[in-house]
Amino acid sequence: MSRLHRIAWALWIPAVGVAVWQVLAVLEILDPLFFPPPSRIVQVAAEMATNGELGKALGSTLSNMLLGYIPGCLIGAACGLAMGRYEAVRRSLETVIAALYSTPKLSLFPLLLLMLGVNDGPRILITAVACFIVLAFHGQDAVRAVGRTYPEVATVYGAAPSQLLRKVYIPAALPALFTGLRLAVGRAMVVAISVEMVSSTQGLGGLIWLSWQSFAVEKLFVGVVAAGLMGAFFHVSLRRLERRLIPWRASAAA
Amino acid sequence: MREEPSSPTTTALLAGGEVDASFNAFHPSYINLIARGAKIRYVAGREVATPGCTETMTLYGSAEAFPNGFTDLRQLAGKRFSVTRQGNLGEFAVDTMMASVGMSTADMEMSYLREQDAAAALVGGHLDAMIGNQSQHDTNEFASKIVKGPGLADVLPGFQYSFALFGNTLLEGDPEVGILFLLAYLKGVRDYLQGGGGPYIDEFAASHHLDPESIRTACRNTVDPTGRLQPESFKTFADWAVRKGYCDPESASAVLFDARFIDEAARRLEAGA
Repeated sequence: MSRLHRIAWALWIPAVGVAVWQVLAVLEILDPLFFPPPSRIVQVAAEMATNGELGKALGSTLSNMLLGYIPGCLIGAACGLAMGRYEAVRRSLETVIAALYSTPKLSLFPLLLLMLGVNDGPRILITAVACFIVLAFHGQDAVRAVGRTYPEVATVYGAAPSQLLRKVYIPAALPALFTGLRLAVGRAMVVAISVEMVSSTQGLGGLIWLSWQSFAVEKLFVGVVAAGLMGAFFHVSLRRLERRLIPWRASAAA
Repeated sequence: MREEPSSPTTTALLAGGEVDASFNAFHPSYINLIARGAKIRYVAGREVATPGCTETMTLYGSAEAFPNGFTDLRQLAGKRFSVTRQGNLGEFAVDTMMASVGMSTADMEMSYLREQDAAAALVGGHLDAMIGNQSQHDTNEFASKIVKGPGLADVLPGFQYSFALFGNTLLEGDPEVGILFLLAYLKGVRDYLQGGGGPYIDEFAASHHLDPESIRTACRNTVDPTGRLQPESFKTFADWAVRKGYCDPESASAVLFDARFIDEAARRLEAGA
């Protein structure tokens, strides 16, 4: 499929949705107080891009998100690999992580404020925890899916534990880990923006909240769409990285 | 009846016709919506900043940061301070109080936390002061760690900050409905100011985990018995919202209130209705 075809497939649904919205808003079938025409939203977005407001918000969310996402994913992946490889680790951690997964992360915020103070620490830590959980579960399941055959064969051929890890477990776990990375980036965005909405004037969360507070509806939509586009960008980027690092996954799918 | 935690949510419900009336405070969202043609208006005044009595918009400090008490706004210089959110009455109150002593929020280390998070940070020693609601902080188990400070009422006494608002159905429909609603409201206010309130106070205390006796004995003089609207309070808040960039000057000059209903309700109450 050509690149143009792929883009068309990806964009036709939102394009139709925006077109219908434009018509309904112009005809005032949709209340323009709450659903301004997309053309007006684009105009406001251009103003915000020109005066730096949008770039500043995006940059702030991005930095908070990545500061939590990267360590959260790295530690989560390492923990997941250990949980999959060693039964004692899995038994010790799986239930705790499952309980943490079900806990609304924002409910941890006051406790983290008490522990870490009023700074970026609680925001970054909550984001990291959200990403850690996703990668831990994906890493664990990926290693357990390897089974016994490959490790046994490698061991018979004299592979040391570190070689088992590098040559068998990690390559086998990479597809599942990349799925986890894509899921984790979405969770990181949600958590980072949600925390900004309750505790900051910065970032897309601060922008969305203040727009809601002052009923600047166009700016609110700009913030929401910017968050969605950022998420889509990361998703596409991770897909591309995955195709480069795991070429055998694409050919297996084909 | 429904309780909504945030002003913007109530704004949307009122403007969208999901509710017909609401009790709420000043908020830039109302000003902007009215300027954009939404059929909502402020129709009666409820509470007025009263020195020694007003519960909301009071400053609180940690006992550690204010060992000798918190009596002067200038003590806030260099302190770690939290305003709940931008654009709301709390921020207005803090800006107004700081301006009264020639200072601003730039003289403090600012955070913008939810009130419950700020209270946790205050008790935990990560904040020095915050703006909050007296009934929640005076009577809870951490009261010994918190020092009450000045409030907006000390700086801007008589400022009207709480209102009844009507949406489209009451504004455009039979005015008798709106008048009777406000007449009932004024009768309830009269009863409250004479010491009434009864089962509602118990219900309110239970739902907010407060001592009902402390609410029963709290000062009630913040409630305006006439319900009349004070245009100067509107101008004060709108001017602030424009300065902060939450509203543009054209929005702030829109007609925000409709006094027809409260004027007639007050007249009928005086006439013995």
